[in-house]
Amino acid sequence: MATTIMTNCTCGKDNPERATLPFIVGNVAASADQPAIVLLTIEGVWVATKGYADGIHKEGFPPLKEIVESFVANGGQIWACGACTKPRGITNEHLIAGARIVTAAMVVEAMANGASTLGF
Amino acid sequence: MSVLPNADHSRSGQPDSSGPAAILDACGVTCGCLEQLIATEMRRLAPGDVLEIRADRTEAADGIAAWVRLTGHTLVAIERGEPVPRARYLVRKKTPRT
Repeated sequence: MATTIMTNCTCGKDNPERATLPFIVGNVAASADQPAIVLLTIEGVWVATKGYADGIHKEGFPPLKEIVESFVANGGQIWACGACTKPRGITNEHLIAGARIVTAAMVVEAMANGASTLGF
Repeated sequence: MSVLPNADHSRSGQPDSSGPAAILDACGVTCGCLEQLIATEMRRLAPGDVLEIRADRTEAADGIAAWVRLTGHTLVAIERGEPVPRARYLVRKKTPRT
């Protein structure tokens, strides 16, 4: 079984480059048919919400919305940290397609099962 | 970036002696974005078809080679061009195991 590639995104509009790179790497993995997860934490959880990625565009990269959609279309999963979504008032009804709210145990389980992680 | 479908469809499935089934002109495309473009084009090809990728980034050679290893396709050849580091990369789509 292929190794799961998990990248961590901690930023949103506060840092477009850090918001974009985890999806770039995740999308390369997904496009190569590797199981891929982008784990959103802290301000990064906003990226999982509808409309938020619109207009986020770091020069030199494709627009974030485009990369996120490509990542999901390639089979990538978006995990939004439940501890981070709760204080921001983000619930399942706010999420884009391909995103879900997860618990710390799910993240630990993925890592314990061999997921390779990379933070930005 | 542009994609140029090969006009000679008779080459599909017999790429070795007759050239690429499609051409992806990815000059100017940076790493991280190139791989997705290649993946999209490879899905359109039949097993055994060859995709010609035109790229002009130094890191493209290592990046394409790594992506090909990950996916199980074959990097058939690299043809260096001018100006350096412009090159053409010929990638053959893998055949599913039976």
